[in-house]
Amino acid sequence: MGQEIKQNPEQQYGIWDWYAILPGTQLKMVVPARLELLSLLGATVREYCAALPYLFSIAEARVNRSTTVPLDREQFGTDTLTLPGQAAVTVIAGYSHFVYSTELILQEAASNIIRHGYGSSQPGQFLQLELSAANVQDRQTRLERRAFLLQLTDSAPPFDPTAALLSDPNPQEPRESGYGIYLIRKLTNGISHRYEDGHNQLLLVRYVDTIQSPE
Amino acid sequence: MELDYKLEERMGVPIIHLAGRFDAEAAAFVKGQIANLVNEQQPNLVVELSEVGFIDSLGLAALVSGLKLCRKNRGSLRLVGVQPSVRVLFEITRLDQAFELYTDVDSAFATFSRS
Repeated sequence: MGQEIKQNPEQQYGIWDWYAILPGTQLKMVVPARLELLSLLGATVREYCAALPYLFSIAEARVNRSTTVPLDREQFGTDTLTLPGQAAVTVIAGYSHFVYSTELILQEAASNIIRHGYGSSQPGQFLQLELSAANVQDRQTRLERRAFLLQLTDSAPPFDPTAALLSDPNPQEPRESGYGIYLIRKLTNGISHRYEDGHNQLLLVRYVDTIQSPE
Repeated sequence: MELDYKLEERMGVPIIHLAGRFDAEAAAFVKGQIANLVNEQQPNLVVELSEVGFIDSLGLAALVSGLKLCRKNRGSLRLVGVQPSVRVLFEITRLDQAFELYTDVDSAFATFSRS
């Protein structure tokens, strides 16, 4: 299908045996590492999420037959969209929650990098954001899943948010910190970190073929 | 900062109206304002969030800090008008069980007068 297949089990991204980024779906941005710019990145993520169903459908259109996709009118302004291929992602009412919580994941991960990774503000500190649509193989179920990939790269000292030990929040004694990483873990299907050539690379994965409404 | 802050008072209880984006950038400011408003004589606070479309973990933490301060002074912090998308965040962190949540300011005050 002309996709770039990366066979990098274990050493690459731990939990996935392979992933294949759909061609033409990658978006890359590099911005100074500043808290006041996170709303800009957040807006980009929201727009990208809204386009995700189309990205999958268009990328896969060649191999499937024509179909009509049901859309959430509130989100997209129309009820259906006829595509020349099978719909890869069915947009359901819970999609607005998916968009909000994806922006939240980015906010938490990027704010951690800026506040804890870089710490004091210095010139030249940057954040690179990469968004893409991909097919991944879930390691536990061995099933191929359609996924949204959010990758953050920075040049701060090594900082692995996956290493923190977290307990579930206790509403009787609410704590004043630790929600960020907790939220990232709760809202992603996979997370991995590696430090290479002076850069942290954080990969966050959310499956988009079964977006659930919040409970 | 992309957060609007407005202060009002009813029956001697401060009401903070927030609008916009309550995130890492605004959290320290709000936390400081709450610390200035709550004390032994004035242990209660209402925070109205109906126009807040986005809260992150530091926004949540600022509210928790206020909640603890109110409780320490034997009062309560009440949240009003939390949007459904934001409410999910409270549910995941189980903070919906820690805060008293109300749909509007009147219902938040109705129980103040009874207590």
